[in-house]
Amino acid sequence: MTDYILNLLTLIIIMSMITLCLNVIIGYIGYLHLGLVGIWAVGSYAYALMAVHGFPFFVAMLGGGIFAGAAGLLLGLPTLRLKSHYFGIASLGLMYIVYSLLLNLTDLTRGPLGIPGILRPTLFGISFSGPAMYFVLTLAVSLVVGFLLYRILKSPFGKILETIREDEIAAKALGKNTYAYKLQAFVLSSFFVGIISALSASYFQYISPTGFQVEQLIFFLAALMVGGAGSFWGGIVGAFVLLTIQELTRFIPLTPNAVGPVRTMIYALLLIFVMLYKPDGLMGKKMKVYQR
Amino acid sequence: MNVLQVQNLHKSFGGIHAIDHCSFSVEENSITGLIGPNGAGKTTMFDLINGLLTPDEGHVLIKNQNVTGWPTYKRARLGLSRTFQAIRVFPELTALENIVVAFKGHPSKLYQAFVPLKKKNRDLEKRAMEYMETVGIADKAHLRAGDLSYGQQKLLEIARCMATDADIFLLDEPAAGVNPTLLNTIKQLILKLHQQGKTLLIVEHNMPFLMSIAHKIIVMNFGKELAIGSPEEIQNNPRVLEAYLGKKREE
Ligand SMILES: Nc1ncnc2c1ncn2[C@@H]1O[C@H](COP(=O)(O)OP(=O)(O)O)[C@@H](O)[C@H]1O
Ligand SMILES: [Mg+2]
Repeated sequence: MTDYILNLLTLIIIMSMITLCLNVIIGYIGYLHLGLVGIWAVGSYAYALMAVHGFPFFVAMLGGGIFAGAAGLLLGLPTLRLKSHYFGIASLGLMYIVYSLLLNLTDLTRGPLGIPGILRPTLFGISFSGPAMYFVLTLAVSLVVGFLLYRILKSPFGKILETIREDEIAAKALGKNTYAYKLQAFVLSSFFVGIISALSASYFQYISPTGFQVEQLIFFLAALMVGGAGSFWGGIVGAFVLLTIQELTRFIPLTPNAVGPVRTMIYALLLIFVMLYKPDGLMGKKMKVYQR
Repeated sequence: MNVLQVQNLHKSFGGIHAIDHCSFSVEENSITGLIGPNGAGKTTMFDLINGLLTPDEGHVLIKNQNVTGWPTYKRARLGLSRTFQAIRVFPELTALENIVVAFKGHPSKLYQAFVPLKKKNRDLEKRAMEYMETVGIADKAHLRAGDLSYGQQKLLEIARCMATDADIFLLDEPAAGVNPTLLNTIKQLILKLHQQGKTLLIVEHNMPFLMSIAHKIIVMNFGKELAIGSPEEIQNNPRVLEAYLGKKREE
């Protein structure tokens, strides 16, 4: 029972952190980032491949961050000049490109077979493979990432990101190089998604292309909308609520083939409920998906 | 000296020549009015001057620098600021924050998230507060900017321009939709900026207001400059009366 709770908490922390990274883009600069799962896939594969080839844990983790950050840079350079909704479509494209690369670059990725045997690390002679120790590792890394993002988002730099969400034209007219800010925010968000990818890949100990699709994107978007985009705790709270509810559905006596549909229905009801009674999410600010 | 020059500027949207080979210049430390019927191209002209639009032909010179290809933010750093016909404050930020982010010295580099800034931020807030006092909305400093009244948002927008340390102000209909008290506040503010040596180019439909403060008036019609002169000259120019003022007076 404790193992079960610890595993669940570990997963919640991991998904919260990825939702937080999504919040940096959707909530702070106000750009509809639909390429998140593509970035997550790049980070996960980079980490997994380095890990199974014997790189030390933190090196592989940094590798995940750097590759994900580079993917963010490549996507952001041409597309962050576009307006939010065009950016949304372009970034969604990234997810499909990454997905088909993962399927087809079989020499590197093993295609649909995925990469098994991604071990949890042993650091300073201590094994972090058990639920309790892995929870501790996840919490420690997430606290560091969360602290860094908190400092950044609450800083004057973060304020400028918010002016871009509020009114990008006005920000430009005040002398802000908004493109440079957007690009930095995007690379930063992608880098941290890559860092967290190390935790998620080692959590599941197996990754494959099917784990990086629209379904996962919808989870993160829903978590952010429920929690509230644009407030630091929004994505974190949203992921917590959604995953908790998802777990509770396990205790409803259902035939196995009803579990999926019921879960989706509960998401949908929850979203409708939030949109009706708390349109800005539980924590917060407006999610702007268009620009004037 | 001319701090702002528009040379043979042209901009079409599809078949519409919104700006049609238009030229004029604005003298340093002047209050210049830019008038013309609705659709004459005044707002489009502002967009071309501050770089939100790029012209099809012609040049924009700011302080004798040809800035025609420059992005908006670079022109702003040269000392050009503007307000918008449809107000553009940052509604979810507080009124005070709206001003703080406009400062040139706003420590908004990424690495600065990790250096101690308490004192610097307090200084900036203090300075921002002074601007809020200047425009007379200091008591609203900590409200969400989006919750201010229309008139207060207009004042906030002007204060934000001042905070950028600009010396050229483009004001797009500062008097539209404001009550007489506020109108007077805005007038005093404009005169004060002028006294401080600033240059103002003002689009306005309120003729008594504009004629009482402007040194020079530029009349635009169908995207072209129709007449340029002192307020008296413009008021007595038959072409202007016909195209614009005459019609208004008959109403
Ligand atoms: N983005 C645009 N697309 C198409 N037409 C535009 C655009 N902006 C302005 N126009 C047209 O250009 C002309 C000038 O508009 P504008 O500059 O707003 O006039 P003013 O501010 O003098 O009332 C109008 O005919 C307007 O419809
Ligand atoms: Mg206009």
